[in-house]
Amino acid sequence: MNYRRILGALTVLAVAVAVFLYTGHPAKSSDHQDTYNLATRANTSADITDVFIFPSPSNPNNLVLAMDVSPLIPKGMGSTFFFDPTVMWQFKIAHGGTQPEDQVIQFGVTGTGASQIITMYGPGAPHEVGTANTFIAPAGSFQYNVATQLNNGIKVFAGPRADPFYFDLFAFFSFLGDRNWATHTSQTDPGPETGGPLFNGDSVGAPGAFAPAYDKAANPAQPTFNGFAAGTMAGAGSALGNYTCSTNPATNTLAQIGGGFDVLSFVVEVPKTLLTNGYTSSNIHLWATANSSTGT
Amino acid sequence: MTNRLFALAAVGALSLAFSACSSKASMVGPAPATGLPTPQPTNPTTPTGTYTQIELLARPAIKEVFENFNDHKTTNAVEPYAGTPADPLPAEIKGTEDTLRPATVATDYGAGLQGLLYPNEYAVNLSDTSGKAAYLGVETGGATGSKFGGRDPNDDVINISLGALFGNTLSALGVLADDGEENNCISKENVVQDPSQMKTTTFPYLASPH
Repeated sequence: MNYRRILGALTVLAVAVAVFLYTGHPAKSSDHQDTYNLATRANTSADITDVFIFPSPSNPNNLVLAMDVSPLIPKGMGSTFFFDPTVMWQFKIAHGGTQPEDQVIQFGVTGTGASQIITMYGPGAPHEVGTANTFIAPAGSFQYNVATQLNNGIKVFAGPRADPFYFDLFAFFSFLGDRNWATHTSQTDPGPETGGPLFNGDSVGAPGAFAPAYDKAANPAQPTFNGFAAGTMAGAGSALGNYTCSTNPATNTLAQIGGGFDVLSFVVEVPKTLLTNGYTSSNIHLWATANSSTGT
Repeated sequence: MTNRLFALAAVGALSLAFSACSSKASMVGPAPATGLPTPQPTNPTTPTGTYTQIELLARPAIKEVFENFNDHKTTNAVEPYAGTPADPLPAEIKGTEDTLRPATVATDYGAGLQGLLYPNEYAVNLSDTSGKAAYLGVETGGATGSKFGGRDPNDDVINISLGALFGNTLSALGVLADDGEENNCISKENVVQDPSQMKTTTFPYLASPH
């Protein structure tokens, strides 16, 4: 009985921590909850958290591109989160230089809930380069949360996955609290950081007015991550001074809090030739965007 | 009769489903949620409207470390182009580094990192045959794991970034000279990836939800 009570209490605590993180003290990195508007949209799938491109683990002739969106989905709730039909997600590729893009892979969504249909467009030349875009020719459609094989050797998936990002969020917030969107009241509110690069609530190199919780006078701790051996010092050459690093335990926030957090992922595996044939360079630059049909 | 019609309809539906699977789509790997094969649906009508960029991401941690939160909305809307207003990110990379590790006669981390990290895009060498991605692999000549570059889901991108920004990673690789201004407390974070987050060997390769 005691075991059950303890387990029950721990479960309640884990859920409470997860809800607390999701609503009150959200994560912010590597790009989770990137702006006030992205963090507060009714559907958060326009918020890109991480982007990956790597050789296929199962076929050396293929490449995998993945884009994670919708940060901080609590454990067990992944399949209750869906994509925003007003958004276009894109992988943009520039061959031989950094811009403009000369090839894109796009995703759009129709429907709602678990019956959503995702359509992949491309890979192909964009109709237009820059920040205002339209869909190109479709490659095929597939269902939410179902791994599917399309033509031309393309595999696609769009649905919930574990967030692979590992990071000590609270250590980061201890010296860069401005990056927590909840310290801002609107898309235009500068929040606690108004005077330049902020470390430990202090404007380094430029004066500024700071919210008390992030002012160095109220929070004198020096910027440090956790988990250092006792006696580790910042270093005599640091412009921030030579001080003691934190020995508090480090936390992998996205895996250790509340049983871990999930994201929604777009994953596409393509034959490498689809990204190289017809192009003069196999050196590419890649970035991902979310575009909105409503402009916000 | 009703049962026969139902049976015929079911057979017809299954045939159509099989036909769709065999000609255009088939399941690969485990179906993550349902475990049931599903035929590829017909492509919906392609939307004809224009979609405006509201979010951009490539390199992890760059905006978060260097850029005021309130500037992200501008960067997200204009990168990687010379938009109006101008993208504030490159100046903030240089400004932050200039303050935290001032330029010396021997080296200038502000200018160096600005050139290394901007534009905010992954560099990838598709002709590399190592079979392994490695964040900043192209920029460092393979020192982070391979010359493919890109980013693997298991890459320790935060420690790689912190080591470059605040530690001695770049001087150890010979990319920039040692300025002696490292800060040990923020040049790594002492966190490892949990097994529940690690890349798998079967499509879609990202781990199942928690």
